[in-house]
Amino acid sequence: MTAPGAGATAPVRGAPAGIDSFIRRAGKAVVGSLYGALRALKLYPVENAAVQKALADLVAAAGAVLARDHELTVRASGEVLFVNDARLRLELDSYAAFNHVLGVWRACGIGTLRVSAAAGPRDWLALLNALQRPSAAAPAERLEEVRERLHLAGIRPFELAAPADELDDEYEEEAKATSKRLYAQSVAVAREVLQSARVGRPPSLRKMKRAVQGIVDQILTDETPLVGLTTLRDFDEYTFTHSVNVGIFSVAIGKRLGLSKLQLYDLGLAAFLHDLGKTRLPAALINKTGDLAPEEWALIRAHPWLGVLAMFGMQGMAQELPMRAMRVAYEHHLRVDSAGYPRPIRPREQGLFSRIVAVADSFDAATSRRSYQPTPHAPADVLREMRENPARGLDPVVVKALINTIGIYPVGTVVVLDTLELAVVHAASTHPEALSRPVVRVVTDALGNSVFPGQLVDLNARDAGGAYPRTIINTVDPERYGIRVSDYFI
Amino acid sequence: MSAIRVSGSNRFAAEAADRGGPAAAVEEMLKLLGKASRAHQLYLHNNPTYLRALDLLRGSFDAVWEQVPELTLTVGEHELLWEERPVYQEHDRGGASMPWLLFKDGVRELRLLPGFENQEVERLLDVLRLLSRASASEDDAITLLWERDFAFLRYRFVEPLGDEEGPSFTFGPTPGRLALVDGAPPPDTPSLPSTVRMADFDGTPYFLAERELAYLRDALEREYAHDLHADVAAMLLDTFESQPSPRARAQVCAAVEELLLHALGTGSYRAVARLLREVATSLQRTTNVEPGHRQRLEALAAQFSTDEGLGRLVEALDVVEALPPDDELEALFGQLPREALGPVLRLADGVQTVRLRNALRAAAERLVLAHSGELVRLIGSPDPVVAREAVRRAGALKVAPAVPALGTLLTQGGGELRALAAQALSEIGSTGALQLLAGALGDAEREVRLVALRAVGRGYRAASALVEALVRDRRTRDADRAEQLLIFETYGALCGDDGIPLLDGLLNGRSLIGRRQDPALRACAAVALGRVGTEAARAALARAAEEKDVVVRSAVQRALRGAA
Repeated sequence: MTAPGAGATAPVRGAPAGIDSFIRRAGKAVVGSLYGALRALKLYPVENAAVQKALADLVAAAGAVLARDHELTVRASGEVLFVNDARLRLELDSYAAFNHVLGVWRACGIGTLRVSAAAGPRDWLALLNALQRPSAAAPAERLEEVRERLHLAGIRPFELAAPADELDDEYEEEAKATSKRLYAQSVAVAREVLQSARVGRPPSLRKMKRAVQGIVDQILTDETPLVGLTTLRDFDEYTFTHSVNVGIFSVAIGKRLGLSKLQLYDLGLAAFLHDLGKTRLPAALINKTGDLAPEEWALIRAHPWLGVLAMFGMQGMAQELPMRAMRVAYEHHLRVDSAGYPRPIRPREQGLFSRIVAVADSFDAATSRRSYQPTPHAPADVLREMRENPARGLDPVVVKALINTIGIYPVGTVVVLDTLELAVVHAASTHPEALSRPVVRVVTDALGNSVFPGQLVDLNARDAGGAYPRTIINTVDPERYGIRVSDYFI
Repeated sequence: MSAIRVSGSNRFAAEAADRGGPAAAVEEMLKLLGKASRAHQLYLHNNPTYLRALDLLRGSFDAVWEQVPELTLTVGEHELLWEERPVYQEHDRGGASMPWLLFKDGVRELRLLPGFENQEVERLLDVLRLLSRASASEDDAITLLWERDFAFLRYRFVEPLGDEEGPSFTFGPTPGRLALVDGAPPPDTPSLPSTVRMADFDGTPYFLAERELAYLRDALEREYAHDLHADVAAMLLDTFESQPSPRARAQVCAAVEELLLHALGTGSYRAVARLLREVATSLQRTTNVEPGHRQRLEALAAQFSTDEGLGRLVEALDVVEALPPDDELEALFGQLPREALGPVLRLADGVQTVRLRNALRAAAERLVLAHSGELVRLIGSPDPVVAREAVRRAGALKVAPAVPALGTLLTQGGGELRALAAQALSEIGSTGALQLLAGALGDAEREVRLVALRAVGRGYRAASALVEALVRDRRTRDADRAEQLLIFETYGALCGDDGIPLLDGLLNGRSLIGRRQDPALRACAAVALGRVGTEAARAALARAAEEKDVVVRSAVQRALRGAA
C-alpha cells in the first residue's frame, strides 16, 4: 500500500501497534495492571509491597480512564477484550495479560465488569480475591458467588454482569452470514487472480486487497465462522479455496502470535498469493492424479520461484511490488533449517511470514482432497504429524499457534463421543486448558440416525453433578459415514 | 493536539438544538466537517485556523449525540443523506467534493458512533485529505479507512462490477460476540486407545512461553527490518544461476531491471548497490549465459557510467529531502564501473549537497586508484571540465602513469590547463615530472613558470643550470618582484657553493663604473645566499652587512639570521 502523505496519521507496519487512541492505551494499561495484581496476589501475601504496588497501579490505571471517560467497563467477547467498548488489540507485549484476564473472566462467568470512580485499593483487593478463590462451581454459579462475596464485604464500586446470551445468537447468525459472503467473495477473487495470472491478464488488485482486508477484519472480530468455512474444500475449486484457506489460517495464526492489523494484512496478502507460481505450470500437471515422474516433480518444485516471476509479470503491481508476498511465495517450501526447496545459493533464512504460511499451507493441503491425494488426512493426525515430525521443518512455535487456533480437534473434524453420537467440531475450545473439549455440533444420534442441523454442544460444560456429559473418544473419516462436513458450516 | 472540547462548543450545541432538532444539528456538524476538511487540506496540522475548525467540529457533535444515539449517513455522489433527506451538499466542487471522494471509491454509508469526535474525526480528515490528493494508483478510500482501524466509525461500501454496483460490504467495529461460557479446567480426559489425548500434547503448553514470545518479537522485528529489495534480488539471481532455461533467465533479467527501477524509485540506494554487486557476482560465476542476457545484466551497472544515467541519479540525490547516510552513498557509488569516472568528474563539483559532493569525490578517488589508465585517457578529454578534474585528481593522488599525458598537456594545452598540468606534475614530483617542469621554467605563462620553479626548487639539482640561466637572464630584472625572488630562492636551493661567486657578485660587486646592481636584485641575491647557507655564503652576506641601502641591508640581515 502507499504510505500516506506527511502529516497524516500514518499506520505503521513494523511497529506492533499502529494508531493508538487514548482508550486503547489506557485500556491496555488497565488490563496489564489487572494481570499484575492478580499475579501478585497469587504469589505474595496481601501486606507485601509488590501487592500494594500492584493494587496502587491498578487504581491509577482505572482512575485514568474514569477521569477522562467517566466510566470504565471491561468486557470479554469471544477472544477479545473491550474497555469502554473499544476493542483492545492483542499484541506480543500484552499477550499473557490478555489471556489471563480473559481466562479469569470466563472461569468466573463474567461478561462485563463495570467500575465506579469510588473503587479504591481495598475494593480491588476484595474483587480480585473473590475472582481467584478456588471453586468447582460452573461459571454462572461462580459469578453469583463472587457477587455474594462482594455484597457481604460491603464492596459497592463494581457491577458484574454475565455474558449477554441473547445478543450472542443474533450476532452469531450475522457473523456466519458475513463470513459466508466473505468466503465466497474471496474464492471468486482468488479464481480471478489466478486465472488472470495464467493468461497474463492484469488482476484486480482492488478486489484482492478488499478480500484480504475482509478476512483480517473477520478474523479479528470472530474467527470461528470463517475458520469453519475452510472445511468446504471443494475438489474442483481446490486451487482457489486453498489460496483462501491458507490466507484464513495464516491470518488466524498471525492473530494468535500478536501481529497488528496492518501486519496481518501483509501476511494475508502474501498467503493469498503464495501459490501463484502454479499458474505457470501446465494445468494437466496440477490436475494429474497418478504418481509424478521425477521431471514432473522438478516442475512442481519450480513453483516458488515461478511465483516470484509471476508477481513481477502482473501488470498493475509495478507501483507497489508485493515484495513481502514474493518472499513468502519463494520461501514457503523452505524449512526452518533452510532445507526444502528451492535450494538457496545465497544465504537465506526463512522469514516469519513464510513460516506461518508454510504451516497453514501444509495443514490445508494435507487435510484437503486433491488430484494426487484422493483421501484427505484427518486434521487431528495432520496436526500431530506437524508437531511431532521435525523432518517436516515447520516452526514449532507457529505450529503451536495453529493448534492454539484450531484446537487439538480442528474445526471440521468428525468425532465419536462417548455417548456414541457423531459430532462435527464447530469451534475450538475457548478454554486454553481444555483444548480436548471443543464446541461440537452433534450430527447423529447414538443409533447413527442423522440429525440436521444438529445441536451445538460445548463439551467443556458439566452437568449438575460436575461430570462431563459428553467426551470425545475417537476421530473418524467423515466419508465413511457419508457426512459432508461443510454442510454444517454453510 | 488541540483540546478535545472547547468552551464555545456547548454554546454551539445548544444553539443548534434550538434551531430545529436533530437534522439541524447534523447539518451544522457536517458543514463544520466540510470546513475542517478544507482547512486540513490547506493548512498544517498545528495551524490555528485548522485547530479552530477542528474544535468547532468536535463541539458540534454534542448537539448530535444529545438527540440521536448514532448517526448513519448515506453517501451520494455529491451529497450526504440522513434519514433520506440531504444534510450536506457540495454540487459545485465537482471531483473535490467530500461526498464524491468517498462515493467514487464505493463508500455508500458512514455510521458514526459517540466517541468518534474525540480521536477518530482527525483520522477521517486525514483520509479525506489523502483522497483529495491521491492519484489513481494510490490507495482508495476503503483501504485508507480500513488502515486507520476506526472504533467509532463503520462504513458500508460496494464493489463495482462493470457499470453496475456489486455486492455491499461493511467494515468497522461490530458488537462483540460473547463467548460460550467455559467451566473450570477439566480433569484429565479418560484415556482411550484410539483417542487423541491431551497427554499427547502435554509438552506443548498452549500459552506461549516467555522465550517463545521473545523469539517471536525478534522474528517479527527481523521480518520488517529485512531489506526486501536485497532479498528479492537474491531470489532472482539465485534463480538465474540455478535455472539454465533461457526463458527463465530472460524473465529474471526483466524482473531484475524492474526491481532496480523500483529500488531507485523508492530511494533504496543501498539495495541498488547490493543488486548491482550481486548481478556482477552472478555473471562472474554463471556459465553458459547467453550473450543477450549477459548484455542486459551488464547494462544495469553500465547505465550509471553515462553522463545521462549518472546525471539522473545524482540529480535525484541532490534534491532528495533526506540524503541517504554516507555508508549507503559509499556503497552505491562503490558499484560504479571504470567508465563512470568521466561522468563522476564532470558531476562532482556541480552538486549542491556537500555530503553528496564529498561522496562523489571519494568515488572518483576510488575509480582513479583502481583505473589509472582511464584517468590518463580523461586527461586528454575534449571536455574541458573532465580534463581539468582529471588533471587535478592525477596530481592530488600522485598518479605517476599520468605524467606523459600531463607533459603533453603542458606543452600543447590551453592556459588554465597548462597551469593545472604543471601543478599536477609538481604534486606527483617524480623525476619524470620534474624533468618536464624543468623544461617549463622558461614557459610563456607566468603561472606555469612559478609552479615549475617551486617544484624544481624542492631539490631537483638537474635543473640548477637552467635556473642559473634565468638568474643571469636580463629579462629576470624586468620580472615582477615575486617571480624574481622565487627564481633566486630556487637557485639558492639548488646551486650550493658553486653559485656563490655569481650571487656574491650580484650582492657585493660593482660595475666598471663603480655602480652597484639594482637594490631589489641585490636583495634577491642575499635571499639566495641565505638559502645556500654555507660558510662561504655567510661570508658573502657578512660583507654586505653594513650596507647603507635599507632594502639590501634588511634582506642581508634576514638571510644571515636564516643561515645561522
